[in-house]
Amino acid sequence: MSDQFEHKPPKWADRFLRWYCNPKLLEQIQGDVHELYYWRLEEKGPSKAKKSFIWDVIRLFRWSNIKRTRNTQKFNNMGMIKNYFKIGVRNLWKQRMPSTINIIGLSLAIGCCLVAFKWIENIIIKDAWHSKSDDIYLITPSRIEDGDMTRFGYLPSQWSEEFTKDISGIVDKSRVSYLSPPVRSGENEWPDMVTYVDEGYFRMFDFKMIYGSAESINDLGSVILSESEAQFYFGDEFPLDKELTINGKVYSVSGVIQDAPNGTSLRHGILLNYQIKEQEVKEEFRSYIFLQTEDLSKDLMLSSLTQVMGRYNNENPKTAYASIKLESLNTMAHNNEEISGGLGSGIPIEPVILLSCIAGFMLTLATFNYINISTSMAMKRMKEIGVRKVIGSKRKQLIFQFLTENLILVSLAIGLGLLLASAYFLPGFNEISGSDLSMDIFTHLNLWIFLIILLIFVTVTSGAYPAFYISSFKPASILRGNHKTDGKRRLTGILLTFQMILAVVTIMAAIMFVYTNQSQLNAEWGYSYQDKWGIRYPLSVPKSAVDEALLALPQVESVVRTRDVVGSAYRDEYTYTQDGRRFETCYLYVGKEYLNALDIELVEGRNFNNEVSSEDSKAVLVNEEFMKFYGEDFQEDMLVNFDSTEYRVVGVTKNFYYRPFNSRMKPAIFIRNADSLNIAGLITVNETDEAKMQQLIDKVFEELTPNEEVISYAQSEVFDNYFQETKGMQNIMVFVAILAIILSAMGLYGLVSVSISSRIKDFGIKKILGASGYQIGKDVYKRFALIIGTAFIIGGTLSVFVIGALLDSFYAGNQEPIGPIPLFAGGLILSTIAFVTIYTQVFQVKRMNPAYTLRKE
Amino acid sequence: MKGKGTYIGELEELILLVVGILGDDAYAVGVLKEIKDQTGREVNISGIHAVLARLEDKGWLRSSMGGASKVRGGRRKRYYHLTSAGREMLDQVRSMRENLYAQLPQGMTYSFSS
Repeated sequence: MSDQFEHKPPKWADRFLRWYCNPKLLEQIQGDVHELYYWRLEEKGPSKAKKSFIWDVIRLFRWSNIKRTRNTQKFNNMGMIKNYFKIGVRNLWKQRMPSTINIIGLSLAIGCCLVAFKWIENIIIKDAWHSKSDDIYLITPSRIEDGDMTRFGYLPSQWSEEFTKDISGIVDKSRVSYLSPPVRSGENEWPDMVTYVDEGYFRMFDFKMIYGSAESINDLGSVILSESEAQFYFGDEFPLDKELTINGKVYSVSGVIQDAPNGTSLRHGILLNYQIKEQEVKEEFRSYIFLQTEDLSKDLMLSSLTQVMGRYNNENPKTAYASIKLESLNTMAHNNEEISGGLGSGIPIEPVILLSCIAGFMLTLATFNYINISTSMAMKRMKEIGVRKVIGSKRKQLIFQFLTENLILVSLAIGLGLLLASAYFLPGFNEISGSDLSMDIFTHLNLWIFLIILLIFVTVTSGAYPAFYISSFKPASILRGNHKTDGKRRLTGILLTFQMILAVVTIMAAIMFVYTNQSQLNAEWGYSYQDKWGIRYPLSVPKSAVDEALLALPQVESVVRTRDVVGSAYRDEYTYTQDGRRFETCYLYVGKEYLNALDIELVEGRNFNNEVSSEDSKAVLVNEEFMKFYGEDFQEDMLVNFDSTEYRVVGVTKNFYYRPFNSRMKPAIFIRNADSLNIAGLITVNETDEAKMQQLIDKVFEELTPNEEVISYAQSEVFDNYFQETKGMQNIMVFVAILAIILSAMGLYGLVSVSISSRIKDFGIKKILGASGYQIGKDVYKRFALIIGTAFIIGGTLSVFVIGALLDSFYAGNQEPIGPIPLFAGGLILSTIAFVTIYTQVFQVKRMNPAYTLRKE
Repeated sequence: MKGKGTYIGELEELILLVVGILGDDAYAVGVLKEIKDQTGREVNISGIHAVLARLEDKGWLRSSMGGASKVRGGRRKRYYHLTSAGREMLDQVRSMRENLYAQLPQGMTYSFSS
């Protein structure tokens, strides 16, 4: 017997058998050959047995023993997936509450993502939506100007014809130019933007004609209007064949074209033939030239253009171009900064970052929620998983099943998110941001790609952890019931902390925006704007007549004239000090009594003199900020150099808000404007009812200038646009904070409920032993208080920096600092919500009859 | 017989018979030994495996895994059992053979043997 074990079958043959043999057959085959070996060993001796063994193994190397699949072992995959779906749907239904939380949370986040996607896509696409955009180019010549090579987006008008005529390799062309001539319809006249184009404009670009034909642009007596312009001029009336007087010439409307969508570089309202501008404007003007090539003929076109450039350079040596380049319509707007006087604008980077951050925040919050809640949901299915594992489910299969269930849930959430986004989020966002985005679900390919990526991404990120975690349990420990559902799960605690940090940051952002806006609404502007009215003098009557008519009103106390107006008209230029330093200064040309009429206080020096001596015509006032930059104390008649003119500073005003609060307080210089050149007026009244005053002023002008619209406004309204803008921003922030609070409260709710249900027996026993409500809840509160406290400290610190930077970029230094009061308010909001969320669960435990909890198996 | 698929070969018939003879103790090596004992013919184990699998596919045998045995290093055997279809098949083959045999001309053997 002992020598039997000394002689063993050759190892390599055995290994070879193990390697090739179908594992399902291995046992019986290997057993057989081994048995034969030992049988032969006894009968024929070791060497013969070994040889036979090897021979057997080789003979067994045949297809039927190698192939890995057999009919009986094939999975019915379709049936399996169907089964997963059914179980998935049943499970979602069985655990309605957490499923709903998951779906709602995810769909809120997805709604945000969709809005951000739509907006960012719109910004990035810009002009690429034109179907021929790949073939359309803008001519951009370059030459050295002021020592730098400058690339221009336009050509001089006189040469626009040359640059479009006889160019080889082009399919279509259009020159584009802009002007704001007076436009009159009926009684009313005002300057309006007119776009002068060639016929090719309508063929190259995808703007749709709504009424009439594009060819009518060739008729020099006709005009094509955009949809919104047609509505503006003619209201509900059918616009075709209506008359419009532009620059003194009458045109009849021959077509209505689609409005240029938001974000596109080519804008149009009133379209006239390019030749009209050539006839009317004799001086040189900017002409933008778009050419459409055929495939591959771009180089041909470029060489042809270079030839034209050569001719141009011969005739215009002073403004000769160094080179000519073609800028694709697709990249025109993005490269806007390189092209001087180019069309369109580049990507505003800050809002893109802000929106993607918000969307990312929301998705992170919702995903973390999902991970926490679905892990806890799966905990309740431990027995099912244990039984499945015992029956023989592979881990891979369990993971696949969980991911399938996730897919169902995420699909539902995406459907709901789409609805939310198109019905609520997007319209709301449009209103705030003034954009015209719409959710065209069925035709928008990019949207579908985005949705599918989102589906896969969210399914995997949110589902991977629960699936792997749950499927990793040993069936024995599951069925014995001693797996730990609490305590060990540090990850969920970390995720919750992270969620709470995000919540704190968004809450702080909302608080700071509300707080800053509120304090700005009540802030001093540095001058008195109550009972002041601004007007723009009409051209048709003398200014003195206007003053007289206004002063005839008993409510009007005084009228002063100026050119620039505090609150709206302003520009920046450098001021040079005597020793050659320079700093940027805002300058306003004002009437001599203008600043006085606004009750702007002087801190030093004097106001403008009453009589205009030649000496005083070079007198200026500056603000305190100016003196700070100037770096010296005020002295009578100190000299500054501004706009190549030397001025004497005669006085210093207090700082006041001549611009809205989103621009930094800058040095300002107030230059006395000659009275004849003043175009605006400031009226001081003693009537506090603004509506009534507006009526009175309107009535004066109706009588005085029946044919001319006169602009008048209350000085207190000059920041209204700004306040509206900040209100929009504030609304976005509050909305985001509310979403973040809802999402993190949901996460907290889910986690507390797991924590409680896993210790439900502890609570039952405590209760029987006479624990009070407080004592029962204490443990739960303690654990979560720690998380929330940590989150608040980290989030608070983070928001001082992050939100501080955000506020600074938005309010430019005029924001409120993130002090202890807002931080305290943020902490209070967070802890209140956390407490309420936890309390609802603890309350249930308190009310529960311990008999049930203890009996619960 | 019911068409091509149910054709039975010589080795198949032999193994089917031996499985039937061995009853509850029929597994590949057992069959191999039995054939050797009864006919002196040593069939390779791989052939036996292939035939057993084929017979099972045809429905004349069915199999189950049995207990482990020490000599096989604790590996289990696959036991084969004759099914009623297999038994019927054997009966058919035999009756056909006897039928054919009976038609051999009488007396021919005697002329040779004597």
